[in-house]
Amino acid sequence: MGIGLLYVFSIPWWFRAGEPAFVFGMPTWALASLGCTLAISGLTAFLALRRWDDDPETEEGHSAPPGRTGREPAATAGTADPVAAAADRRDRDLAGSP
Amino acid sequence: MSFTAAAVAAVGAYLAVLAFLGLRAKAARKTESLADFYLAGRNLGGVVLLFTLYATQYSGNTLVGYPGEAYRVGFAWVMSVGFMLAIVVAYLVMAPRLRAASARHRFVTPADWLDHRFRSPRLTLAATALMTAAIANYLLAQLMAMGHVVAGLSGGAVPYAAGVLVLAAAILGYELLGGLRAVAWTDCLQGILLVIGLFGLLAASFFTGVGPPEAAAWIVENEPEKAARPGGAVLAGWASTVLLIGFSGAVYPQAIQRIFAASSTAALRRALSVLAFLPFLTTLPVFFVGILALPRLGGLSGVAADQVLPALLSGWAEESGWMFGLGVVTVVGVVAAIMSTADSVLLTLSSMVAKDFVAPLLRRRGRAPEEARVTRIGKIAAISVMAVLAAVALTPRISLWGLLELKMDLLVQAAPAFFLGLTWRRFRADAAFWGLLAGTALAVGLILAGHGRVGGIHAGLLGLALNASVAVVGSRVRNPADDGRPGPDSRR
Repeated sequence: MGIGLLYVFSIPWWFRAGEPAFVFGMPTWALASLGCTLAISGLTAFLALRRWDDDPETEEGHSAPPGRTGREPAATAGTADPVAAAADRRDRDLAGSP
Repeated sequence: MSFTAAAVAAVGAYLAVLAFLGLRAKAARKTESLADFYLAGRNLGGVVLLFTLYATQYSGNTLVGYPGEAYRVGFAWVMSVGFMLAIVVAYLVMAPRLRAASARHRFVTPADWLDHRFRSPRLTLAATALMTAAIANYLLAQLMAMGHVVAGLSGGAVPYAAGVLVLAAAILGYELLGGLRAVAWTDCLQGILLVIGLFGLLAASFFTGVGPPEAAAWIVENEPEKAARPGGAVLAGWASTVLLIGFSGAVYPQAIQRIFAASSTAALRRALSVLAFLPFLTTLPVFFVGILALPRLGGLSGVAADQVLPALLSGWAEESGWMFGLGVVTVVGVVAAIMSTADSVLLTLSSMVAKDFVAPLLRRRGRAPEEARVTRIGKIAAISVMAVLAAVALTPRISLWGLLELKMDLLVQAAPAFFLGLTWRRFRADAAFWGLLAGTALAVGLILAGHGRVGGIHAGLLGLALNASVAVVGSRVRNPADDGRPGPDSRR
């Protein structure tokens, strides 16, 4: 939501048209846009580092069921076996979570 | 030594280093499995992941096309910082869930996830065909850029055809040797050269021309419309571009494969957190190069504005020894930027052709291939794809190829299957399929009718709106009680 709002304000519709003022050779509307974009970068980095759980359950070598350690061929990683089906269900639950 | 000879020698040395990295990557390969060849054994750490995402995201167009755009559009091209960042923002919506699923289910291509989520062969086929067409066009554009850049920067001394063929052969060579390992390792070198080239460009622009205040004064006096706040159509186009690039850039198959190839979620998180700031180190310097070129090269217009970079480089080469050296590094940086995008696209394209198209055909005929064989088929596919696209790049453009310019407008139609598929449990396969068809038909129809933009909004974005509407309404209307189980076209 915050990122969306910052994007809305990174587009300088809210600056008045006409001859712009300049700071360090940049029109103020362009500087304001860059300021909003920098805030989006910061917020994105913050979300990536602090709000994205590593979910150790899904990390390699943690909870991969026997025989599904990542070293087997991908083609064999189907969903016919009960363990994989359970993983499927868990994944669907995750996809449905907010 | 002339500037052209020095630049050709530097590019030759760079190609030798790429060959060495390809051989090292071959030695590091453990098996002939798809994951080992196409995903580097799912073992890309944070730094390599960052560089390969960076080098893949920023193509030669960033260095060659964007200064020309800034020159042509003026200060409004500052939008390029925001729209390149939009790709990272979109990753952030998609990557956590996709990464978690891929860690459990060992996906290799984007089709693996689509198949896992929807169990709909026709949706998987349609989305994969769409993505294949879009990135094949992307690879073709990179091959043509190789020829133009080499011919342009060498002042015609190296012919266009030689540029296309030599660089295409080099890419094929290290890619067939080492798969994604070779691509990712060379991406590290290419990423470093890209940054050096960029800052070389910026430094040269500052030291040989005028500073930003003087450039602004010149622009206000001579081309005031390039400094004024953009008008309604440009603002609409700005918003449209942010959305189009964000949604389509995030579903580039080569970017999705890097999510699968990360050694851990933590490595991916760290890479994305740094990637979020890289538009400020990439598109922003390029923007300034274009702006600072205005007073120096005033008067270029239309297509001629694309010659901003070659014109600057040849001018710098005559000014001083260090500027000469900087120009040579910039040339190598440009070549590296194009090659780093082309190699990633080729590898992903070949994996999709082999695993998503050829292997299912063989299975249907009762000849299920082993993984090592699919990997070998992928290598043959890489050679074939490169040969066909190089041949197309060498022939004059015909009107049919205009269709291929739909790249982003096409690719963005695959976005709902990923974004809604990952976040909305009730999203149904049949709704996704019909949405994708409707959105693609609208986008293609508008573009063919000569309406690439309507009121500043891209045809692809209008198609995406229709696509998402059909997808949402279809998922709600068809079976509101269904909790996300596959639709009627399910295999189960």
